[in-house]
Amino acid sequence: MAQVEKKAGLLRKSSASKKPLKEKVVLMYEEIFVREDPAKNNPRFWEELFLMKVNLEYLEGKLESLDGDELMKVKDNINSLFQHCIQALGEEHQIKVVNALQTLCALFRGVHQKNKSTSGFDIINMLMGFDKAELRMKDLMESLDTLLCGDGSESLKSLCLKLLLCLVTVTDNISQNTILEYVMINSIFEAILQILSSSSSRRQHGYDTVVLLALLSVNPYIVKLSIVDDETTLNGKGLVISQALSEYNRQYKDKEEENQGGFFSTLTTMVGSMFIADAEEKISVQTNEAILLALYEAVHLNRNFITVLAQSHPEIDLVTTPSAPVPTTPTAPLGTAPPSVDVMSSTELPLDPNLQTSNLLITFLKYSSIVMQDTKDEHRLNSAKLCLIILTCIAEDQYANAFLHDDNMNFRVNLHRMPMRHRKKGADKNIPSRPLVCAVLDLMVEFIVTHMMKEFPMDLYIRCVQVVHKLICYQKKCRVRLHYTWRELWSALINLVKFLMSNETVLLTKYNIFHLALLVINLFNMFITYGDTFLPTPSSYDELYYEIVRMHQVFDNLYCMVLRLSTNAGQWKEAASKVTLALVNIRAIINHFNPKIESYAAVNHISQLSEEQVLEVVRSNYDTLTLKLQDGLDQYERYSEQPKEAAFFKELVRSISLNVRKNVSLNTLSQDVLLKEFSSIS
Amino acid sequence: MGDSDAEPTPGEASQPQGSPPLDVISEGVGELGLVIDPEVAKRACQEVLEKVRQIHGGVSEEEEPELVNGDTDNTGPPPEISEEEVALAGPRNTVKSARRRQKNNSAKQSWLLRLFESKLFDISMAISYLYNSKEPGVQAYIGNRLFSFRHDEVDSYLPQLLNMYIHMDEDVGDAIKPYVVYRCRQSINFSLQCAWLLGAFSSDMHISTQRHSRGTKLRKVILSDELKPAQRRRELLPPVGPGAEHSLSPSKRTHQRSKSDATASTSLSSNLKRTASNPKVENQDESSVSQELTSSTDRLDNIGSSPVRLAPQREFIQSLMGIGKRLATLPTKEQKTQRLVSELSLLNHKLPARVWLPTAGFDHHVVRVPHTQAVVLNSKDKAPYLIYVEVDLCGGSGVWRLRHHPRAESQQLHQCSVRGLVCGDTGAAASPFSHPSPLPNLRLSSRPSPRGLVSPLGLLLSPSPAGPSLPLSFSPPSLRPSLHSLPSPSLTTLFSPLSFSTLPSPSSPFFPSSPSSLTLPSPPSSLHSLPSPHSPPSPLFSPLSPFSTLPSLSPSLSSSPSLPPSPPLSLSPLSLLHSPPYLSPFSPFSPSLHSLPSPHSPPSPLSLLSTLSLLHTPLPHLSPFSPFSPSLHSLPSPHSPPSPLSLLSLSPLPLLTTLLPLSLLHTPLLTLSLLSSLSLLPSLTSPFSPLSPSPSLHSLPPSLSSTLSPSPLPHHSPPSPPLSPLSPFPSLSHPLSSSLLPEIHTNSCDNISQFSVDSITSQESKEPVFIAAGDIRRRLSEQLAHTPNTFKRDPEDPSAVALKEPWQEKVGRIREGSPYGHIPNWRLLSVIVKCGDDLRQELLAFQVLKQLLSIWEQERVPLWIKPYKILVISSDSGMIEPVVNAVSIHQVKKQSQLSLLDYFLQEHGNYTTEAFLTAQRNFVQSCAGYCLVCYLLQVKDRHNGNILLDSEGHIIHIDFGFILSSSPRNLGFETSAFKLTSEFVDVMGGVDGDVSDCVCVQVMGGVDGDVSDCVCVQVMGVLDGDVMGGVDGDVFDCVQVMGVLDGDVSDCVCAGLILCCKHMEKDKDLEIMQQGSHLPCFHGSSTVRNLKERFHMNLPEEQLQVLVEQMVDGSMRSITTKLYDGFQYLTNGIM
Repeated sequence: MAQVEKKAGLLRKSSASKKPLKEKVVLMYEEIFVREDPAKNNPRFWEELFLMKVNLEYLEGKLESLDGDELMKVKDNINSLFQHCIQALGEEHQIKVVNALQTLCALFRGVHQKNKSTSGFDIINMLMGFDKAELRMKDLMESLDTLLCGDGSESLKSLCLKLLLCLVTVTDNISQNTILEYVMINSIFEAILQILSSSSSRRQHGYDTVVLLALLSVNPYIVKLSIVDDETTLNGKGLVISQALSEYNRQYKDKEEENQGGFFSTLTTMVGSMFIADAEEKISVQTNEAILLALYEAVHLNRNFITVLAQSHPEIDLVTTPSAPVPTTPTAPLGTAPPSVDVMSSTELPLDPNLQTSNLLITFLKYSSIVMQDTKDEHRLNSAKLCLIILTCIAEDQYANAFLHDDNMNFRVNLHRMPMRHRKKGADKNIPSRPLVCAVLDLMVEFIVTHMMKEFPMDLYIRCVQVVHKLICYQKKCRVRLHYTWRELWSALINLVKFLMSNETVLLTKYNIFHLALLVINLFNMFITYGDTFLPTPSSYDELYYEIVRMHQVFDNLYCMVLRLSTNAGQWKEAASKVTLALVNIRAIINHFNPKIESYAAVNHISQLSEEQVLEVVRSNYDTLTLKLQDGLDQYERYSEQPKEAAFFKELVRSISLNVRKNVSLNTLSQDVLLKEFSSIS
Repeated sequence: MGDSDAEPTPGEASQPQGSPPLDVISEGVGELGLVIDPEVAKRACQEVLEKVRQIHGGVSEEEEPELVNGDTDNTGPPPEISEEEVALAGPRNTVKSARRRQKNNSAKQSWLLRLFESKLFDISMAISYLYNSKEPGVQAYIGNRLFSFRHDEVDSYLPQLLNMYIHMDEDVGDAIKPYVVYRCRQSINFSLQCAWLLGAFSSDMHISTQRHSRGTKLRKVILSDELKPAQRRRELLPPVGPGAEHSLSPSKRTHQRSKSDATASTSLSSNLKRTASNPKVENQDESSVSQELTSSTDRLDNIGSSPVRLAPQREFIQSLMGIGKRLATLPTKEQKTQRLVSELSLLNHKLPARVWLPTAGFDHHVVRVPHTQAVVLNSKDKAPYLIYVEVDLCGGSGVWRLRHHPRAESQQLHQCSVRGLVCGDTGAAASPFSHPSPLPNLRLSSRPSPRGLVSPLGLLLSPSPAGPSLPLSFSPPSLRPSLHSLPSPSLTTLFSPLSFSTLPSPSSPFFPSSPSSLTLPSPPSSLHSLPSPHSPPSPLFSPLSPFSTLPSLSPSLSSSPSLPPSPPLSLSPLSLLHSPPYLSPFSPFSPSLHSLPSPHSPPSPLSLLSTLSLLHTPLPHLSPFSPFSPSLHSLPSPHSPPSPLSLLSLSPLPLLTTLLPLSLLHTPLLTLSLLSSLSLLPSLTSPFSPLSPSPSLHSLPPSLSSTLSPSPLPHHSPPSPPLSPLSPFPSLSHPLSSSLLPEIHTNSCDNISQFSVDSITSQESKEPVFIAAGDIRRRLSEQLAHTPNTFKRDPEDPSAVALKEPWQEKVGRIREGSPYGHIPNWRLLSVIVKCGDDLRQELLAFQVLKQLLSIWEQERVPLWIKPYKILVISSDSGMIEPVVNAVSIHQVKKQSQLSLLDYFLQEHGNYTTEAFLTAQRNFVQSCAGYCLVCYLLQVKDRHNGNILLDSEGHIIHIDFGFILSSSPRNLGFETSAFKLTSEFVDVMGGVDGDVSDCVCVQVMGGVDGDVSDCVCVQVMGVLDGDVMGGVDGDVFDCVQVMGVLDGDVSDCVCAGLILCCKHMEKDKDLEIMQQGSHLPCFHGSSTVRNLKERFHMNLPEEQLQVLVEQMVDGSMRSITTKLYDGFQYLTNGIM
C-alpha cells in the first residue's frame, strides 16, 4: 500500500512540476500508444527513444491503465517497441542499453499487471507476437547473456539481473509464467553462475543472483543447479548466503545490544523490541526467506554444496585476500602485491584475533537460533520451518555429518538464547569449543525447551526431534562418541512429554500428539538399546537410567494415557498403541529400578537418596534387567520435498516472488541515480 | 709407493681420468645433458691432463699457455647460460700462480691424484678437499668430479657446497658453479633448494655486500628461471603448459591449480571447448578461467617475466609460510588451529597444483591437503604447524592421467553425445555424462555416502580398477527432477532402509533367474536416438530432459554381467547363489519373463529396470506384492513403441518405485548401479545402507542359510557364524564400503559382531528379542576400555592427539575420506612448517646426525638415531619432516600422568613381555645414540618437550636450535654432558638393574685395548686412502664384540664415540658451515676446536671408557638437568 502511494506521489510530483511541457519521452510513449507506426513519421524514432531517459512510472502506468482490448489495438507498436528494445541491447552506446533494459522491465510488468486474468499466450502475443516470440526471446536471452558475461559496466549487469528478476516474478505463481519457458529454453544459467564465481561481480550482484537462482529453481533449472560442481561458484553462492545471514545476525545483535544498553526495565525492552523488531525485522526476514530458500535448494539439491557449508572463511573473498597481506620474501623478484581494491574484504579483517573463524553452517545455526525464537507470526514460522528443513537435510547427509562430528573441527558457536525468566542470558561466553554437531543439538534442545506454548508448533517439534534422531542414527552407525551433555537433551525431551500430557485435551483437538510422543520415546529407546555404540562414557548410560527413573511419573502418565486411548476404539487407537509398545523398555526400567531404590532407601534408612546413591543402585542392578529389542529404531524416513512439502514451498516461493517483485520495482527506480551517473560518463 | 711413480704416464692416466665425467653423460642424464656434458667432459679431461703433465715436471712449462687457451676455449660457459657466468679471466691468472706452487710439491700432488682417482674418493672427501685445498687446479678438478657422484650423495652436501660458493674465494665458487647450474637445469626441485639455501646462507652477510654477492646473483638467475633446459623433456621436467596458462599473479592468488601437464591434452580440450555446444560451461572450466585471469593480470601487472617453471611450487611454499606468519599473530591455540584449518581449506581450492613437498624423498605432487587434520604444534610465540598432505606418486597411473586424460576423453565423448553419437562401448557411453571438468568429480567423490553409491557404478563399468572410471561418478544430471516431479510417494520408502527390513527373505538366491536374462545388451541404437542433456534446446526440452539421461542406466546394467567374475563386484557370485528349489515359484510368471525385452528388441533402460524388478517380484514371500504383477505386464516392454523416451514418458516410474524395494534386496549390485545412476538425488543417496550392512539385512530366516553358499568373495576372511546365511551381503558390500564408503569410524568387523547382537530383531519372527541391560553397559565400558592408547583432546595442546594416532591408522582414515584415496599411488605425507625459526642449524644437525648414523650403521653399532629431514627455505623459515608415531615426553607425561616407566608398561605390556623388552631395547639404543649426539654437538635446551618418544620406544631428540656453543639465553643450565634422567634410567632397568650393570661391565670387557690405535691409524688411513680396508676390519671386529654384548648406554656410547673419532674427518662439514656463518652455534672462536676435543681422538681406549662412564654417571646425577626441567616446567609448563 505504502509503496503504491509512494509511487503515486512520485508521479504526481513529477507530473505536477512538468505539467505544462511533457517530457519528450512521454510524448514518444504516447506515440507508441497510438495505433499508427511511430516510425512512419520519424524514421529515427526508435533510435531517439532509447537515448531518452526512461519514464518507468508513465510507461508502466499507461500499460496498466489500458485494458486488454485497448492494448490489443496497439499490439503492433508494442511488438516493435519490444523488438527495438532487444535490438538496442546490442548497441554499443551503453545509455541505450540501459534504457532498453528498463523499458523491457516496464513492458513485462505493465503487460502482466494488466492481464492478470488473461492467459500467458496473450501476453506473449501482446509483447512479441506468437510467430516471433521464440526468436525474440532467444535474442533477448542471448543479449542478456552477453551483457552478463561481458566486461561491461557492473550497473548494466545489475540491470540485467533486475530484468531477469522482473521476468521471473511477474506472475504470482511462477509456474504460470509462460514467458519463463523461453528463459528455460535459452538458458542463461551459466551466465548467472559466472557471476557467482568471480569475486568482484559476486560482491555486487551476488544477492540478486542468488535470489534469482532460488526463484528459478522451481523449474528445470534445478537440474543444472544440482550438478554445479564448480567450487568457486558454489563457494561464491555460499558466501553470498553467508553474508546475507550474518548481516541479519549482526543487525539483530546490534538491536539487542541497543535495547539492553538503556536502563529500561526488562519488560519495556521486551515490549519495545517487539515493536521495533516487528517493524523492521519483518522486512529482513522476508528478504532472507529468499536466501534461506537458496540455501535450502543448494543443500537439498546439490551434493557438492555440502562441502561449502563447512568451508570456513576467515577471508571471505578467497580469491582476493590470501596473498595480499603476506609480503613476498625479500628477494622474490615478483611484483609487489597491489593493494586489494575491494571494499568488502576490508570488512573481513583476516588478522583480527577476536574474529571467530566462521563458516556458513555456523552462521546458519546462529541465524536459526534467532529466527526460531519467535514462531508466532507467519513469516517467522515459515522461516523457522525452512531452517528446520535445511537442518534435516544436513542431518541426513553423510558428508555433512562427517564434518559435523569431526573432532578436529571445533568451534564455539554462540547461539542466541531467548531470555527467559528462569535463566540468565549471556552465560554463553564460555561455551567450549566443540564439534559442530553439539551446536546443532544445542539448538534443538533450545527449541524444545522454549516452545512449549499454547500455539504449539507441532510440525516444528516433529522436525526438531527428527533432526536429533537422524544425528543419533549417524552416531550409532559410525560409532561417534560425542562428548555432549546428553542430560540436557533427555530432560528437555521429558519435559516435552510432560507438556504434551498436561495439555492433552487442547492439543488432541488439533494434532496427533502420539506421533511426536512416539518419536520422543523412540529417541529414548535409541539411547537405551544402542547407548553402547555412541554414548561417551559408561556413566552417561547410568545417568540416562537415573533420569528416566527420576522422571518416572511422566512416563507413567504417558503410559496411562496411551493405554486408555488404545483400548478405546477411538480415533487415536492405532497411534496410541504404537506408543504403548514403544514404552516397553522405559517401563521395564522404571519397574525394575524403582523398587530397588525404595528398598535401598528402606534398608539404609535414608529418606532422600542422593543422585550418587541412586546411580549406585542403578549400577548394581543392571544385570537383572532385561530389555526388549525394538525394531527400526535407527531407521528413519528420509526427507523428500515431494509431495509432502510441495505446498509449503509453492507458497513460500509465491511470497518470495511477491516480495522480490515489490523490491525490484523500488530498486529499478533507484537505478535512475545510476543512470544519471551513466549518462555523464558516456 | 714405488709403482706410483712410474704409473701416471699420460696415456694411461688420461684414460681413467677422462672416464668419470664421461660416465656422467651416460649416467641417466639423457639427452638433456647433451648441452653441457661434452664441455664438462672435455674440460675435466684437459684439466686432468694438465695435472698429469705438471706431475711429470718439465713438460708443463712450455705447454702451459696453450693449455690455458684451450681452457678458455672449451670450458667457457655453455652458450645458453646468459648471465655473466664464470669470470674467465680469473681462473687463468690463478691457474698460473697455482702452477708455481704445484711444482714445488708435485710429489704430493701425485699422491693426491691417486687418491682422487681411487674408488674410495667419496663426496665427503671431495667436499673436504674442496674446502681445504688452496689449489685452484684441485678445486677445479673436484668441481668436475662432482658430476660423477650420485645426485643424492651430492645433495646431502649441498649446504656445504653452496656455503662455500657464497663465502669462499672465487676459485671455489667457479669450481662449484657449473655443477650447480647443470643440476638446476635438470631439476626444478634442485633449483628451488639451491635458491632457498642461497638465500638463507646469504642472509647473514651485510646488506650491501649481500646485494653483490655471487650467491644472491646465482639465486636470482635460478629464480628468474633462466636455467630452464634448452630442450624441454616432459619426462624429466614436470611439464608445464603454455606459459600464459601458468604464469601466476601472485597478487591475486597464492597459487593455482596447474591446469595441465600435458600441453597436448590442454590444447585438445580447448579445441573441443570451442566447438562445444555450451561454451559457457566450458568457461567455468578452470583452465580457461585461469587463462582469462592470467591474461588479464598480464595486462595489468605486466608480470610476463614471472618465472613459470618454479612459480607454483614457490607460491605453494610461500602460502604455507604466510599461513604460519598469520597464525603467529593469534593469541590462543584454539584460534590458531581453527585458523589453520580454514586457511588450509582455502589452499585446497588451488590444489592439485604442480607442487610437492620438498622433504619427501620421491617424486610426487600434492593433490590435497586434508585440512581438518592439520594441527598447530606447541610453541610459545611462534606457530609451527603440522600438516598432512595427500600426494600422488609420479610416474604411475596417477591423478594426472585421471585428470587430464579423461578430461580430453570425456570432452570428446561429450561432443559425441551432443551429436548423438554415443559409442556402444559401455565405458565410453557412460563417460559423456561426466562433467567436462573432471576434478570436481573427484571432489565429488569425496562426499562419503553418495560416493559409496556412485563409485560402484564406476567400478562396474570400468574394466580396470577405479581410476579411469572416475568421471562416471558423475551421474546423469537431469535425473533428479524427473523423480522430483514424479508423484511417487513411495520414493522415500524405496530407499529408506526400512524397506529392507520389511522384506522377509534374502533375495540373493533369486537374483538371476536365468543368466540369459541378465545378458541384456546395451543397444547402441536406442542410445542414438536419445537426446543428450546437452542436446539443442527445444520447447520440449523441459518435459524431456529429465529423462534423457536415463540411458546411462542401461549401459550400467548391461555391462555388469559382462564383467569377469574376478572383481568383487561381478554378479556371477550372486548368480551362483541361485538355488533351484526357489525357482519353482517363478514358473507361473514365466510369461512375464518371456515378455522381457530380448536382445532383439530395443530394450529401453526403463524396461530393463522393470525387467529386473519383474524378476524379483514373483517371490513366494512377496505375495502382498502380487497385485502388482498385472501392472507389470502392462509395463512398456518391447511391444510398446520403441522410443525409450516415450516409454519413460508413460511414467512407469512410480510403479517402478514400488517395485524397486524388492529388487533392492535381490540385487544389491544392480540396484547399486541403479542407485548410483540415480544418486544425483541427495535425498536418495546417502542413507542407502545395503553397503553398510544394516541390521535388518541380518534379520533373515536362518532356514535359508543352507541354500546360501558362503560368499566367494570373502572380504573379511571368516564370516562369523551368525552371519553365514548373509555372507553374500556383507562380503559384497565390504569391498565397496571398505574402499569407498566413508564409515570412517566404523570398524567393520566390530560392526558385524555388533549386528549379530542387533540382528536378532526380525519382522518375521515376532517373538520379542530380549537383551540384558547389563550387557549394553558392559559393552559400552569395554569398548571404551579398548582404546586407552589415545590421548584426550586438549585445546591447549592440539597436536598431542594428532601425533599419538598411529600413522597407519591415520593414513587409512584420511585415505577413506579423501576423494583421491582410490588412486593407487596415493600417499600421505606430513610436514612441519616452521616460520620465524632459523632452521640452518637444524640442517647442520641433520647432516651430522645422518653422518653419525651412517657411520654406526656401517660399523653395525646398534645405536639408533633418527635424523629428520630439514628444508631451509630462508634464514627464518623452513620445513621439517615430522617423526611419525612419536609424541613428546612432555605430552606423554601430561596426558598419561604416568612416569615414563609406567607409560612403557601401559603401552607395551608387562616387564617380561616381548613387546616391552623390545621397546626397552629400542629405548636404550636410541638413548645411547642421542646421548652421544648431545655430547658431541653439545645440544642444549633438552627439556621434555624436545624429546620425542615413538611408538616403538625410541626416543628422538628434536630441536637442535641450541648446539655447540650456544644455549638458551646462555643461562648455564645443562652443564652435564647429555640428558640422562633417572626416569630414563628407570626405563632402562634402573641403576641397579641388569642393563645398568651392563653399562660398566660391558664397557670394561667389551672394548679391546687396541681399538683406539686402530682408530688413529684409520684416521690417517683416510688421508692415505689405501690402508683403509685392512684396518677397517679390525675396528669392525672390535665393534662387533661390543655389539654382541651390547644393550647398554655407555657401551654404545663408547663404541659410537670411537667410530666417530674414526670418521671425524667427515665432520669437516661443520667447519665449512662455519664459514661466513653467523649461526649462534658458531659463536665462539673455539667452537670447532672444542668439538674436535670432544672426539677425544688421542685418548686411549681405557680412558675413553672411564670418561664415558663418568659422563653417564654425571649426567644421571646432574643437578642442572633437573634444574632445567624444573625451569621449563615453571616457565613453559613442560613436564
